[in-house]
Amino acid sequence: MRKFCGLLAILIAAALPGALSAQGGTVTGRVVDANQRPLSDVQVGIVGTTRGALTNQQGAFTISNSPTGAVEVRASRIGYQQSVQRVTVGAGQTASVNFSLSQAVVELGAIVVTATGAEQRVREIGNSVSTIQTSELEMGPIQTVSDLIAGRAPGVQILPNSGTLGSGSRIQIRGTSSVSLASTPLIIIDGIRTNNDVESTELFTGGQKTSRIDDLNPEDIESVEILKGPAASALYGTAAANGVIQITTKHGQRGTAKIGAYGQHTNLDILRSMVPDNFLAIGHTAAGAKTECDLTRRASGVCVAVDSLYQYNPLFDAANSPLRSGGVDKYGVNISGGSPTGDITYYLSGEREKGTGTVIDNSLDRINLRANVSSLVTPKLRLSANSGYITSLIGLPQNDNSGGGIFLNALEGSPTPTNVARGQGFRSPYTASNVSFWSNDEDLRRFTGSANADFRPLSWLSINGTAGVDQTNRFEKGFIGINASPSGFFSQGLREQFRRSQRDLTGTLNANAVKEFGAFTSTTAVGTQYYSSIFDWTYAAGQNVAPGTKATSEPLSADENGNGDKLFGLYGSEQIGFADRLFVTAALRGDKSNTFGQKIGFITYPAISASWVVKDEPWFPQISALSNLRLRAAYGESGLRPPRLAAAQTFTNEAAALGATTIPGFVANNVGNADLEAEITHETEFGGDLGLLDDRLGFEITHYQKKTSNALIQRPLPSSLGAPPGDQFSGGEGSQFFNLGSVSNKGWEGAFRAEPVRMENVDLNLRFNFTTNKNRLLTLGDTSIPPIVISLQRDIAGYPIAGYWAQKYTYSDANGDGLIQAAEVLAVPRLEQDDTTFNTSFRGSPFPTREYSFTGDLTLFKSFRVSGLLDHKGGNYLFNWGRRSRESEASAVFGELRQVPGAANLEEQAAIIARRKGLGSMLYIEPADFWKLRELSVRWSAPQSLVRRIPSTNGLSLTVSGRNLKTWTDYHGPDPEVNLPGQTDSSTDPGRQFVADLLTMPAPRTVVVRIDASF
Amino acid sequence: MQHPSNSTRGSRRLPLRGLALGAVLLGPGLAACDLDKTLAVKDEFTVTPAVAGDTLYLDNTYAGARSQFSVAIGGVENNFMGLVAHTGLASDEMYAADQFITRWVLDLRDWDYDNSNSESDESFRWLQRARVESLNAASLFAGTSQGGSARHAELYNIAGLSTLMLAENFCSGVSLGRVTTSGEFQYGTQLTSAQVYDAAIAYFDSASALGSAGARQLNLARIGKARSLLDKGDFAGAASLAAQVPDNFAPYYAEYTSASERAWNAVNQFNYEEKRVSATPQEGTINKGLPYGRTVDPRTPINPVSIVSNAGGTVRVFLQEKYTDFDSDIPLATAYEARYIQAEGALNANNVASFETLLNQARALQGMGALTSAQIGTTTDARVNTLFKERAYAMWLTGHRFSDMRRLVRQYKRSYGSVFPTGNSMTVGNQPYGTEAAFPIPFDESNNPGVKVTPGIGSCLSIEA
Repeated sequence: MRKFCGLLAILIAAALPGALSAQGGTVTGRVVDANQRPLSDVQVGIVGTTRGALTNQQGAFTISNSPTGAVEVRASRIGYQQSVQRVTVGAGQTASVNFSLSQAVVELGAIVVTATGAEQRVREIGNSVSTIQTSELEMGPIQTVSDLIAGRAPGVQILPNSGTLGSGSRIQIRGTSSVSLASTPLIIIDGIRTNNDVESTELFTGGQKTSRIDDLNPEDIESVEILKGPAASALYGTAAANGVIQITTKHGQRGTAKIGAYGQHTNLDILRSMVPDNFLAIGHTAAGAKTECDLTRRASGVCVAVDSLYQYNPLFDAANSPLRSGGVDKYGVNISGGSPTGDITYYLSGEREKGTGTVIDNSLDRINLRANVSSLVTPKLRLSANSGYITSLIGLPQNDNSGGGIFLNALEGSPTPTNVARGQGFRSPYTASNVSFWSNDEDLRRFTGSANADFRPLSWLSINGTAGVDQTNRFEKGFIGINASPSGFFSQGLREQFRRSQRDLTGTLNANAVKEFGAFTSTTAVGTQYYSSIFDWTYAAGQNVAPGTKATSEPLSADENGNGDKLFGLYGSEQIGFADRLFVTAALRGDKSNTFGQKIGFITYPAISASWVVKDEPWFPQISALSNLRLRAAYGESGLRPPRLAAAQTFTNEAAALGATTIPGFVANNVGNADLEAEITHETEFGGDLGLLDDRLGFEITHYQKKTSNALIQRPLPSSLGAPPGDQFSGGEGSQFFNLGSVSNKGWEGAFRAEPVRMENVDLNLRFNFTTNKNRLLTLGDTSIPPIVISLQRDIAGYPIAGYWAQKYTYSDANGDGLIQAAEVLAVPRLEQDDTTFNTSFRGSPFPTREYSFTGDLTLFKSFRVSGLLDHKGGNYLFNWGRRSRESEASAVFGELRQVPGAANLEEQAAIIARRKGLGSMLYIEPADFWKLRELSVRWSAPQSLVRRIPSTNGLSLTVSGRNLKTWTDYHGPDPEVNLPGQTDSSTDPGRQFVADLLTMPAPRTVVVRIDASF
Repeated sequence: MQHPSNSTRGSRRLPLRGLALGAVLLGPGLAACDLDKTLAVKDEFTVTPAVAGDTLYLDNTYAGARSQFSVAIGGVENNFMGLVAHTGLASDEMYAADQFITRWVLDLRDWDYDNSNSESDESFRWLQRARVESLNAASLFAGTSQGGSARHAELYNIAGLSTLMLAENFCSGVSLGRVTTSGEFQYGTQLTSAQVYDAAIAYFDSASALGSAGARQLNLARIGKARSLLDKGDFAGAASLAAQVPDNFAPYYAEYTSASERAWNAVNQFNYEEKRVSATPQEGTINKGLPYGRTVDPRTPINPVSIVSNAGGTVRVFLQEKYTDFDSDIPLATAYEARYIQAEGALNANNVASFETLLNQARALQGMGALTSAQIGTTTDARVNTLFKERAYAMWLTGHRFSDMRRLVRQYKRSYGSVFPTGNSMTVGNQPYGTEAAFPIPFDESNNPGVKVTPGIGSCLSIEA
């Protein structure tokens, strides 16, 4: 190891001085489209070298230090066919070459950034990569990075969890690979690993949590590249098994400063049709006594007739409802430009986003600042610095599984006139005014900065190094005022603060060499990466709050912790290209981390891929309609490290009362496992790309197959061992991480793109994406390990991870009275000891098994643009806990099926009775298929004749757009996409990928009005 | 055209720049070469096995075992109610007042042995943790200067009390395994309740055998062993041991402090703060449980004014006023319990006079006036009723009552329906009571290679009272 490092150091250091003094020529030119309009952001490069440049707004480019002699210059841009031209360059002289690119829906020319920092064309890569360019999108309905990705990348599932403003989304790529680890992909911003914590809320909200990926301002993003699994991400090593989301922020281009400004207002509404009413039937007994007359009382004969049926909706009918129309204002400005030669470029931006969600206590106030600068220090050395600073204040309401939840107390409130008069129909003792007594604020300050040196000493060699930090300081503050809680919960008030500081450091050093040998091109890369993520947090709470203040007089609790993980990786890859149509790449990465067990050294991840542009083969028949055909295949491995400290036997220090004193006590905290390794995911994918009719029709299809072996499973230990719990507060069974079992994910991804109309004044682009996923837990260690049961969800070999299971029962209306009595619903008993399903039957997967999305983009007369996104997810089920609670569980069962005579059919009646008898929840685990009109935008761009009349203005547009405008579903809850624990997954609650809807706020319908101007 | 002199100057400067740049680029990489050092993370908050196993820190190990025991008895804030509340629900002391069906099920005594119950499972786990960590701590004490000390004895007593409570409240079939200090797994096998009581007795005997245990720990061991013998039906043996406990034995508590949420008395928190469980004035609509409340007996203080529960609607909560603070301690072994055990021994030996005397001695220790023979009862059944009522009031909300009700069925052959409340409960929906009499063993015991799972009773050997 030391020898390798020494050799690397000597090689690079020796190459530096001489290389800096080499001299070449310059290539300049301009790139335009078929209509002679300048094209910006075109990647222009000298073939067979590492030399290249991007075009500016005028389509101009300059490549310094070009090799001399006859060279090939290639121009590529996503959405266009690439073009190659030959030019002769003299030493110290400037050669000129211009390009005209045709539009194409097949994106083989798109450029992606690899793990080694090098740029590669999509045609060279054997795996599928989804690229999202923000310049192609209408930004109005896109509030977050999650919105930006949702529906636009096959295989990537963005599962938004609620309508709470500021809450996050669960992100999964190609299914759930791990039983006991997070499914979150790696997130890289401008070359450095960043905080990918998708559940960032520690204080109690009942469910919803913020997500760090959504801190970023989508307006600052140039592009998002998504590597979907180990076949693509092996070089990213341990942590990349769930895929990689690589974000590149915007950069300036040479030329005069360009100023962009925008302002938008977003209106958010929960519609009445989304939220059910409360019902209560009152009737009389046979003896004439007044009684409640719900289903069970009617069935049992206690109530013989309904006399009154009350109906009320506290969220819509109460005059001072905590539900409201939300509104968010967003204003931003950016300035970008560069020196005339492009030696220095800059991008500066600032944005303020402030507003309120659809319930009281839900608010957002965020400021995003960004400064990216780049300087060509010498013709061979470019230094860049990217920095982003975010400050935000997010107010999260109590909802979901909180006894003080706004929706819970509204939807479990009696609709009687008495209760409406008492508390506007809210569950007693709550009222519309006091239901919001407990507030939580997240105060965030985050800095993400990176510095990059791109050194190209020789035409065939580039060396780049990146170092960066992502510093996240999160302060959460919870507050209950004195006498604010109607239930008496902390009647003297409560103040809590949770402060967490996390620093993610990344350092990478890469060397890339390109050399041509006749028709062959060799691209070699070696690199090393160091990453550390260190956190510390403190918690403090106090009670006895002074009225009108947040000052407490009595400390309640204080705690502190800190830890971290570090990783060192070495990697290398070799690509051999033949005649720019066949590319074979082999790569290997080795990692070592402090989270591996003591006995584990380096863990290696190999990868190999091939890309073959068949259409370019000389022997391939020239079919006029066929403009492109590529086949590709890839195999790779990647890993997920064990959770922090999982390998170690640990103890904690807990307070113990001893008479009048408190003394520190050592308490067992983790049993550890010294043999723990990273779990490894192997992925094979193959597919192809097809272009037709001069690339106006494009098809892309990929089949993937992932198998996670050596899977890290948090094996429950028998409680009689007295093993410590995972959490000293939450309890639960003791457990131990083992490398056991295996998980499989396989499916198809595809995209169909078309540009059926391409005319001077009419341009229509259509795109259809689809994804399927079949997830299976193949084995769960040896047969001595029984299924892992998480309430209604179970990890059982042969079924999806965390699949829904429900107890079996039978029912029949034996007496034919149209009502199901308690005695007419019977349990199906467990009969055999080896009945591993424990008298339950499989209901379905909690995660979508298919996703389809349609996007359309119509431009008329260059001024009007209409675009939309229609999204479908399906094949999954969702536990409708809210419905179960309102129909069969709570003391306040005001659901329509329970109360309204004739509303429930026999199956629904049986479900109510079965739950009441503790016999299961089969019917409340509902199919969650849906279609959503996710986005619709109409933009009008002012014609240049009008714009010119406004001093200093280059462009002006008005956009009206909407999000979540319409949902089609058979799911009985307000929204089939919600999830009560927010993004909680196995990263913090191992083995418990709990998915449920407990009166969770539905996603609101949003309408956005936006004005953009450029100067 | 470049000026030659400039070019020369440039070529001299560039290597220097390059070297500097190289150093900057390579710095992190070279630093990374000493991998073990580079990847080490200084962990300032985790106690390592070396420290936890160091005999220099016996006080901390001892305190850790005590804290686990306090959690087992009195719970953890907002997460785990503790054994006192769980047995309170299953007996006639408390009822469930929120929307958690797993808590209703405890209150209704209607759990499922195949899938167990996530609430009582927690009591099982924390009692096992208290037992194991006490034994591990006791192992550390042995061979040190504190070996044989009062604290060493107390650790065995905590192991004994934890084991005793497992036997008292859970079905027959409890295993007693152990994760040792070195991390070794020692799986247990299913034991009958009698065998679990024997294990508890062995721990109490270990405490008693220590040379410097001191009178307090010896008396605690006597009460623990006497209680175990009583549970086993050895009334004479129990009484004989209990008689050695003096009246001035100060109560032994599970102790709590408001200094840490984990060390709060969660009976207080779940009742006072959360309104998730309620003290019970009287349960049952057919057979009724005992009446409780300050007016019934001052030892069972309940605020008579009910308030709205966590579940809302028509469910009300009564606040117990025995544990009014987060740091209220829970008495587990007292001199008056010793007297009650003696009294029960006398009653079973048909020594009525001694029984009455001891009963009133126990009352006197609590500041209660003496009962007349007529008040105590003139038949054996009446005397048994009085004894168990006395125990219920004296040891209200201390984890004794559910076991006593089980004993009435098991040892005094009372019918289940005459001991436990029947009819409709006070929990959400006033649902009817079930018929279970012993907590189930957690589902995860099926991971124990020494356990045979039987359909219908899970990991239990028997589910009788």
